[in-house]
Amino acid sequence: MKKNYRNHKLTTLLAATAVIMFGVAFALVPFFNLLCDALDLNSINQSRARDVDVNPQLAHNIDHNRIISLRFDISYNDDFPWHVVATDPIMHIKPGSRQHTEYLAVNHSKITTTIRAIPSIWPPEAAKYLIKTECFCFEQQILDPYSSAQLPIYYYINPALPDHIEHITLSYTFFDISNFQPSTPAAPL
Amino acid sequence: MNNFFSFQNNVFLFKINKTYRFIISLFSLLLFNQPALAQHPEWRLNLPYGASEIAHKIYNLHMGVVYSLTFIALLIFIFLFFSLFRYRQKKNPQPACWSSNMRVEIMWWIIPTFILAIIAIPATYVLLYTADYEQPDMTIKITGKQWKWHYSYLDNNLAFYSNLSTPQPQQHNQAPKGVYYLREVDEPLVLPTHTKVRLLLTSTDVIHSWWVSELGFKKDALPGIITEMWVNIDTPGTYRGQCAELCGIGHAFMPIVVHALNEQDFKQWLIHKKEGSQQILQQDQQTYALNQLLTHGEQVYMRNCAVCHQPNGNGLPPRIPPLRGSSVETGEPISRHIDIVLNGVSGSLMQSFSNQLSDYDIAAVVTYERNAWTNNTSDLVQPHDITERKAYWQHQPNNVASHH
Amino acid sequence: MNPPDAVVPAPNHSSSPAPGLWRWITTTNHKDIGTLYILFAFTMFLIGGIFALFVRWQLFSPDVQIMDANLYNQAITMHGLVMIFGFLMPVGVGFANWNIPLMIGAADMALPRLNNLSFWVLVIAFIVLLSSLVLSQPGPNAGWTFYAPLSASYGPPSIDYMIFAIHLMGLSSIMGAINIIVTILNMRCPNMRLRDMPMFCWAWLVTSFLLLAAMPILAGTVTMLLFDRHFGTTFFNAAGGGDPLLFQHLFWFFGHPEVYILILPAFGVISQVIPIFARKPLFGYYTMVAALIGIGLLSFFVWAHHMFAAGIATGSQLYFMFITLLVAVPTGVKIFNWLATLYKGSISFEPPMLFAIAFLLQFTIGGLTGVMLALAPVNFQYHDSYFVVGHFHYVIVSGAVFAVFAGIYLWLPKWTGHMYSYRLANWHFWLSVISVNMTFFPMHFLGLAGMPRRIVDYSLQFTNFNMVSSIGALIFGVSQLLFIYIALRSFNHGKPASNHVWQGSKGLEWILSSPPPYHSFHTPPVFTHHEHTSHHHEEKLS
Repeated sequence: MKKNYRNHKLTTLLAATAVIMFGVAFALVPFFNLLCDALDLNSINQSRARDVDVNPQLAHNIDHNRIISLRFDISYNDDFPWHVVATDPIMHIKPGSRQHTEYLAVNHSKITTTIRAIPSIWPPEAAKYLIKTECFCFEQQILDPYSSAQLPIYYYINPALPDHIEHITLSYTFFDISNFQPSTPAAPL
Repeated sequence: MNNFFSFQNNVFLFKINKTYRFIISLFSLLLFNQPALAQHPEWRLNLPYGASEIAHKIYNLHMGVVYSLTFIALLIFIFLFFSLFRYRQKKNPQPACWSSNMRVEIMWWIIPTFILAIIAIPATYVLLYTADYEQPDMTIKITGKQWKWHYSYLDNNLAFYSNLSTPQPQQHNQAPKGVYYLREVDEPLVLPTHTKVRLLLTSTDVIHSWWVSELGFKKDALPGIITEMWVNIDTPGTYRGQCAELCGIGHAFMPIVVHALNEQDFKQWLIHKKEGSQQILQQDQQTYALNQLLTHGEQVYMRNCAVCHQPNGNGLPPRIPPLRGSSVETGEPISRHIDIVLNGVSGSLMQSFSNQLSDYDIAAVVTYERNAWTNNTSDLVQPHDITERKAYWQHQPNNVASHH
Repeated sequence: MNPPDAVVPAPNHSSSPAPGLWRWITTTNHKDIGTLYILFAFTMFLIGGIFALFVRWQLFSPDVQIMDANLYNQAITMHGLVMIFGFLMPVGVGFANWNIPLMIGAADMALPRLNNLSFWVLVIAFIVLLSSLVLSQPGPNAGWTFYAPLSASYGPPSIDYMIFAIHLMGLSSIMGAINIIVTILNMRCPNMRLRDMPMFCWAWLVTSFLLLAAMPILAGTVTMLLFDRHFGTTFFNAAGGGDPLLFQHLFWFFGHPEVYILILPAFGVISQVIPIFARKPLFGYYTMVAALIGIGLLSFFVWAHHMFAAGIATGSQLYFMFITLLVAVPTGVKIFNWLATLYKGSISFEPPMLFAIAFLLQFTIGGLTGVMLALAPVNFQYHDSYFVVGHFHYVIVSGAVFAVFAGIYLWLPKWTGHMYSYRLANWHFWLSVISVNMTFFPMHFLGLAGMPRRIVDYSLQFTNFNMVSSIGALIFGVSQLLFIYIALRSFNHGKPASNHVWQGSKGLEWILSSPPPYHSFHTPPVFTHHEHTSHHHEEKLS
């Protein structure tokens, strides 16, 4: 009888440990979010999300004393069937001011292609201060053969941008996802 | 598996001879010491002092750390050998029996922490210096691609690919090796001195890493991600490096050559380079004889195709098909052959060359492939055939000249 | 077939093993399984060594010697995977299986059937991994770190073999780790507190927790890779909003603890060897334990120091530089404690001690180059160069592998009951120590002069040091054949070993006969602190 009792106690203990460890796994999520935030480790993915401003109370104060130069860059992955150009390769803007620019795209292949543009920002520290309010990169783009399109971006730079950053590169890599499996598009980024 | 155990006698003799030479040079090194070291780059054993401020700072930090750590190592080793010698069993048959001393133990938690903190101070300073990306004078975008580099002068509307130019026979011991074996390219990156050049890096396929040790550091080129570094070269010269991140079978064959010119020469070079791309356009409009195409085609083949398809056209089955005797290279229609070179084959290693090579290059290489080895079709493909084929695939001709 | 309880010895009730091959397949005896692990590990050592020698042959001079880049990339990948997962981890588990029950006075491991399963799963894992070379050319070729996207959309079909094999290896390691933790926590003989355990058991306790925490991360990572390859996810593919850097973060979040999983058991072995041959208790028992735990904890917070050149934010470069430098503190404490153990000892130089001394010297070099690599700005030059190859081979080969030799030479007479030939063992030591330095020291020079790692062919300026290195590798490889001869010969040759084997040996494993009976400690031994530990916390240096 005594032994059974001990087994019973051990089982309870082990089960409790399992439940607690399961809980700890979830408790680690906010911990790592904090860590990655503090170290700018997820800035690459951050620049892809439909942006939420980190510091909205500052967002409308235009900082007239600073000029940030923003370079719009284009890369194609592998054999990309479109030709894309940035209308303003470099923009000089004041933090806080609402801005707008666009890319021009031509599909020079004989088939309808679906593309997705993936933004990437350098320096990584700047990613959370460059806020895209509306961007063609939020959705996939489809172009018929030999047709063209204008791809707009609406954005601003939060004035909380650290003082030492004066140059930001916003690079879009264009991926052909026409043949991407599964055919259903990925969730909105 | 072909050449796994292929063992040629002459290669073996060559090797013995080399070993012998090596032993002699080892002795001469020991005899002549320092001056010999300076003369023989093959005995180089340290970081270069470099040609940019970043490289100098990193070199100085490196030397400082090497000296201080060597000093620490020597202290440890001296104490170790002293204990081993002084307290060997013969000399000290009765060991002490103490096994702890809190004061000493706490001390050697604290002292190393201090030493490391002291080392970390200059390291932090140099790191922040390398991270100062502000106020560049010009911007160049470097794109890694299996297995070549693409350089794009964003402010000057100039772009080109840079390929390994070491001939294939040198890699297979069929020709003597040049001085810059595997570290030479057809189109070097040309940079001005005393100019803060911002380098943007990305990749179109796998991860590559751009490393020239004279310029101070390396940075990865990641697909879909832009990274950045900067360089301000202080001495004109030629600096060599290569890809530093495993990127497939051509990893060892994507070298980097940087020509640093003074600002005046650099401007001259820019003008000259832009004229050069006009010449390529003219080349594309001419007609050539078979032997002209074959000679040029062999060069293009060895530089762009031979890594995978092998100099003898046998490929690396099953992933890379042979070209010798293949229906594409020997059969009709020729347009099928041209299309594969132009557009690549999706889902395979075969990439599209329509933006990488001029029409003249593609015509030459297609002609070469149709006539080399045992593919004696005597077909002749002219640059204008390629131009027509491109037009067929493209509604409006993409301005490829700017890519060349 | 009820699970064994504390009184009934092992499930294998007979006091002698089953005859023939069946014994080895069905065994649940910790000594048999320990032997199997060690034999398997050294088989893998030979296979991984052959890959290494082919690589060094290819790099002997600058041309295509014996293999093209396709085969070369497979050889380096296999060399890494086989040596890490097939040799160093199993040989450590083999040591643990043999020694932990003997050291803590237990009848067997706590979970003997699980023990058998974890060994045979490992064997299957390596059959799967190695068969990919034959069944699916080209074999895995993206390096042992198999960074995406080279291993994802650009990887050959054989990567799937590798993923499956890694799942199995992880399973085996997790089962082994659970077994060791349960054994150490529950099966110590009466009177033995945790702080009375030999340092080897402490090292394995910490290592087991590292294994438990790290291996599932690798399993998760390779599962994500598998999904990216076949099921349309894009964790590591930027085209779908994924991030190729995420793979590196995850891999090194596993990979850095993995490095300590390799080296901590080696620390444990060295902590056993040095007190025996210095005839003096281990100095600083508590700081040794604290350092083990400290290294174990820190290992989970330093991962991105493998990614300084990959384009991470400056702030995180600073953080990872500082915290990586901190790892040097507990590591340094261990070295100082070993030195203090030697100081005022009565030192003799039997083969295990020779290897332990070489470990001290060479591991110090590897540790100090590690401090250099931790400095982010200089790391821009060192990263992915032969300097890194030199560094981690100094830590792993001339460190951990030398500790393995020290351990084998220490316990072999206990395990087999026969002394081996000192003369041959000394030959093995001197050949190894000379050739290992000849192989790996020039690699530092090569890396500093600009040679990247994992290249199949190199420019002429790197020729000389590569030749030195290749010749060293050949000597090192051949001298290991001598080692295998020495070890196998002592199975049934050589003069019988006494129970204590060594003059200075202390601890429960040394009170048993050599070789110990098939089932030892049927009844728990009488453990007294003074007699059976090599450390005394009661006495302090005045």
